[in-house]
Amino acid sequence: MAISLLIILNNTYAQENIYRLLTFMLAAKNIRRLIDGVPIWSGLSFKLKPGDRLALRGPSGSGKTLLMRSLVGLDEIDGGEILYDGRSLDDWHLPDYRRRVRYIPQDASFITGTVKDSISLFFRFKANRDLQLDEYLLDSLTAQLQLPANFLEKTADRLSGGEKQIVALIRSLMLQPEVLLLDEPTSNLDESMVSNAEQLIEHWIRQGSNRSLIWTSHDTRQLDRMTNRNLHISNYG
Amino acid sequence: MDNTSYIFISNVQLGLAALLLIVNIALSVALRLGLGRDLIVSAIRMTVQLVLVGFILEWIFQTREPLLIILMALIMAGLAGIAAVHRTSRRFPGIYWNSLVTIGTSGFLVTGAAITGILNVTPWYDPQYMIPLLGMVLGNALTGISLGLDRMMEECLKNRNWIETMLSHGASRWEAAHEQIREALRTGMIPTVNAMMIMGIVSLPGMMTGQILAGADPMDAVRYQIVIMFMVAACTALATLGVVLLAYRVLFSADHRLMDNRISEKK
Repeated sequence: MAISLLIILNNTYAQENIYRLLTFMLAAKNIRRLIDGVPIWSGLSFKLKPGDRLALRGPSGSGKTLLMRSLVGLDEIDGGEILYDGRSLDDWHLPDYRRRVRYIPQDASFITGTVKDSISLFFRFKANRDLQLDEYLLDSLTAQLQLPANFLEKTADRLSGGEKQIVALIRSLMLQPEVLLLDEPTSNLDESMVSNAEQLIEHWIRQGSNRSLIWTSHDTRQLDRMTNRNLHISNYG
Repeated sequence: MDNTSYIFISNVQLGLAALLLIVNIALSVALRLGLGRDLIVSAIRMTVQLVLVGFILEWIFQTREPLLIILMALIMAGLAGIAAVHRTSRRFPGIYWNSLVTIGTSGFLVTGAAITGILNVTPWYDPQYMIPLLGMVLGNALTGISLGLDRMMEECLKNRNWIETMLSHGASRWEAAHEQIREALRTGMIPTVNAMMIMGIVSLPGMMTGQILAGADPMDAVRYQIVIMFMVAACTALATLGVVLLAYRVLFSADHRLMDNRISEKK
């Protein structure tokens, strides 16, 4: 036992993993957000460990979307601290941070051009330079989701709301995030697509040891299915 | 230029020219077109403004005092910078400073380069060259700035979702703003590019016409017009680029966030 522990500790890679298992990926410490002087949420704290699937629960207007936006630095917080890998968000170069923590907004957006253009563009950002578009994986994903063969060549702005949502999901997953922030990720999908999308996310989180997600949905049964922890933000309003 | 080769316009002749407009005003009143009032007001404003400017220019041309000429140039640039912002339909904090700094810098740079490096005017502050040249580049830069600013703000609001989708997937603020910056620059340059395209075919430029009326050789007037158009294009490009980049720094924060909440509607 002692020897094996020593072996593990001597292995820097394992050391790093142990460190990460013992600590957390994303954490919020006592964060607060005011709008016109009124707190939307305050005293909010949580820690997200590898493998965690956190359900963000709260009535509409409780600031769930605002919280997700703040967690990726698209909106500011008025107090407290957000940490990733032990470093405060203020110390991160935000594009590098967002390379790891990806937020999928509810109303996903695309450029004019084909669906594939809208996906491949994201691989050209400097923060994503270590990633390459895996066309084989892209094809197999569209096949898995039973999307038509010419789907990737379709004009992106002619997609239906549901199709946009599924492409946004594929796009984010292909960019290999460590944490996914999902804001109503299946709100525009029909039932069969919802289960496809859920399987895709399930598959993604199981594939790596260092992945976690935060999920909001009006569908409480989906949250029960897909998550293993809860964060209620109505209490903080 | 031969100063005696044009016909002097007397007060009576000015009055005769005004008669051209009075006929139209009478028509508008008779037919109840509601155009009379606007025409009268704008015609009177134009006359008063130009006569005032005429007095000021006459005075400056006579004294030839460098400080006075520079003061005049600064006032022109200041008015152009403010007018550029007044023509936009939205605002953001610091928009007036952005406009004033860019129009001043680009206007003086281009005019200065033309006066000292190309035309070799001596003394460099000779108002006969400095004031009209500066006036012309400022007038065009003003349009470029207002169109560029308007478009930049519009693009940021219109494409908010797309910009934030890019940002939240690792785009830097520059990568996320690049398309809107390009659009804004293109829009700001459209009038200048179009003017150069059709110049001499559809329209004879005002300055060239003026020189010809004043007795200049048409080919000489054309040479001046070409120099002016290069100055105008350079200054407009510089001013539009400058003001759009300054707007970019306000609308995209250093921590790679879109600050579209800084844009407000004009009150």
